[in-house]
This record gives sequence, structure tokens and C-alpha cells, in this order.
Amino acid sequence: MGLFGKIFGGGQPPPRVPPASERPPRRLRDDAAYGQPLGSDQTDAGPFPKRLRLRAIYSDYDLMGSWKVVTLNSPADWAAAREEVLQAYYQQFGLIRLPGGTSAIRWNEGTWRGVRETLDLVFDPAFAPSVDASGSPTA
Amino acid sequence: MRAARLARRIALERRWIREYYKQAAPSSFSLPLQPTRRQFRLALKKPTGRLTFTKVDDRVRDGAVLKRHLERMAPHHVYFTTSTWLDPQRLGPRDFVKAKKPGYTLAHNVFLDQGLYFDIDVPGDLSEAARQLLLLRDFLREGWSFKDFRAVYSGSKGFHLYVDDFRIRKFVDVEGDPRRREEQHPAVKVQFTDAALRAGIMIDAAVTLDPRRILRVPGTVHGKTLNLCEVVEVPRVESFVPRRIPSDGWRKLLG
Repeated sequence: MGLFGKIFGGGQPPPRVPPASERPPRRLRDDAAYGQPLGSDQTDAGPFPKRLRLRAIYSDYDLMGSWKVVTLNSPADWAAAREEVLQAYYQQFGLIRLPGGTSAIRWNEGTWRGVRETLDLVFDPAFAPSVDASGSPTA
Repeated sequence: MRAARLARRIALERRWIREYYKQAAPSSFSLPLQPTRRQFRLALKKPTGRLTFTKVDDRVRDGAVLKRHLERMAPHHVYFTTSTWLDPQRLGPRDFVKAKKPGYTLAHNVFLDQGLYFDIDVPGDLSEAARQLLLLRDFLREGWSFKDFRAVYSGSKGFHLYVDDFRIRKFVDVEGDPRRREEQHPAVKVQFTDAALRAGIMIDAAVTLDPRRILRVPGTVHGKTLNLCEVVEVPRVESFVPRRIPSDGWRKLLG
């Protein structure tokens, strides 16, 4: 409430803050939402085509890339899909925004080679696109 | 079954870490300059394997204070803020959206200063990381006449280089407004990171440029490798061999 409101009254009463016992418990990050380690079940086993929701994680700092959906038509597509997820991570974290609107490079080629080696790729187990009769994913 | 094994493994690691901190001398922790102006953060590993971060709600004035917290919490990772703050214990996130009261964000984020730090990681090749550190040291010495360096083994894939004689006022007039002061640091330091990256030196520029960055405290355990993060004399960095904390893991795991 502003000064005018304080002097002359009116306005909305301040929202009631519920006592701690009534507040919902603080929601911690759901471990399942973090993603699960990829195995050959996801990358090599059919049925194909299939879609996976993936992200790269730098586990040392718990630095998580955004989710990315990739399509695999066969196990041979895995290398390209992996590269796509790693490139998305690079796009997300490879540039540092500086005050004043400029940006700076975070890694050179050599550093990025090292970083990408240490990234873990995880998949979203809850992402299950339905597959139609022809075997094409529909979700 | 797998989850239970993971939980047992993590409990065991925490026991080794706690035992290490119990016997560690307070002087074995190399605290950064002005430690009471910094926030110290602990990463605790949950039985699921996930990390949760908590801050040390105490002014860490010396190794004895830190040791007390480490013994109690047995964290997998221990960090300090690379910047100094007027009230480091109440330091809030940069964009503190929960702040309801006017001035709250500013009052809890009074930035004082930040040192100059570099992070060098070379997975699987520590001797190459050491070579990169020496390249960087020479590069900074020749380009900007810095003289006072400290090397720290990070406990995993590389080293941190502290430039102890960096003073921002040699490069720019320091602003009075703490928010502007905080912004001055990346603006000044980008010349070092850009030049080093262009010279092919393998640094992670984000560690140098981010005023909110944290670094591992020398003398503490890296919870993933169980190696000690420690100060290394710069001339000896190439012959450095990491030290692992004692563990009786293999005996326990085999029963």
C-alpha cells in the first residue's frame, strides 16, 4: 500500500501468509526429471523409428543442458543424434553474456573437446511418444 | 537393489571423507584471501547420488572453523566464492525474485571485489593440464606483467591458477555502486580470457568471467575422485601426482 492508501485507508488488505504448518512442503527437484543414464536399450534397440528426449549434463557442476528431442530411424542414427545434443549444449553454454550486451567465448576448440568428453547424456524416461500402426511416432 | 548399493556406496564415501576431515590439521586448508568476506558452500550427496548445496552459515575466518563444519557435514565438495561480499552469508542469487521488500536484492548483494582465477581442465591428461597452466602463467606474465601466481590441483582433471597480484583498479576506476562494480570485473577480464583462448590455451572462460563463480577450497576432498584438492608449487606442477584420501572401500565392498 502506498502513502496515500496508508493515510486514507482503502485498498486491498495485505495477503494472509499461512502459518508454516499450512504451507505445502518445499518441492525439491525431482530426481526422475533429471534424466536417466542412456544404455543400448535406448540407442540400439528397436522398434524404429523412435524418438528420445535427451540432454547433456556436466555432472561435476550439475550443469544441465536443455532437453532436446531426437529421432532415430536406426541405430546408425545415434552418432548424429548425440552430436546434435552436444551441439545444443555448446550453443546453450558456449557463449558468455557480458554486461553491456556483448558476449565472450567460453571455450576454444581444445577446451570444448575436453568438455564434451566429460558430458553425460541422459534420457527422459517419461517421454514416450505413441507409435501409430505404421510404426511412426505420433507424439 | 542398485539404488541400495548406491546409497551404501555414498554412505561409505561420506564416512571416509569425515574420517579424513577429523584427522586433518586446520592449517591444511588453504583459505583464500579475506575468507570472512566469502561464502563457503558445501555439496552434500544424497543417497540417490544427487547433490544438494548448502552454505556454511558462519564467518569462516580460519581453517579451524571450516574443519568443524566439514567434520559435521562430510560434504562431497567444498567451494568458496571467488568474489568477496559485504554480507556473504546472506548473499542471494543475482536475480532474487523472491525479494519482496524494496532494496532487499541490493542489500544482500553488496559486491566488494573479485580476484583473477583461471580453470584448466584436460580430461585424462594431467601432464597436459600442467603444461597448459605454465603456458597460461607465461602468457599472463608477458602480456600484463603479473608476477604472483598460485597453482591449485582441482582434485580431478586439471588445475586452477590464481593471479594474486591482480588489482582491478590498475585497469579501471572502480565504481561506487556495487552492481556496477560487479559488472566491471567481467568487462575487464574478458581481455585475458579472449587472448588466452585465441592463443590456444585450454581455459574455461566462465570461471574467470563470472563474479558469482565458486571454486573448490584447497585442502578439501573432491568427492567424485576422492583426490585432495591442493596447492602445488608452480615450478613443480608438471611432476605433481594427485593424492587420494585413505579408504577401506574395497574391503567393505567385498565384505
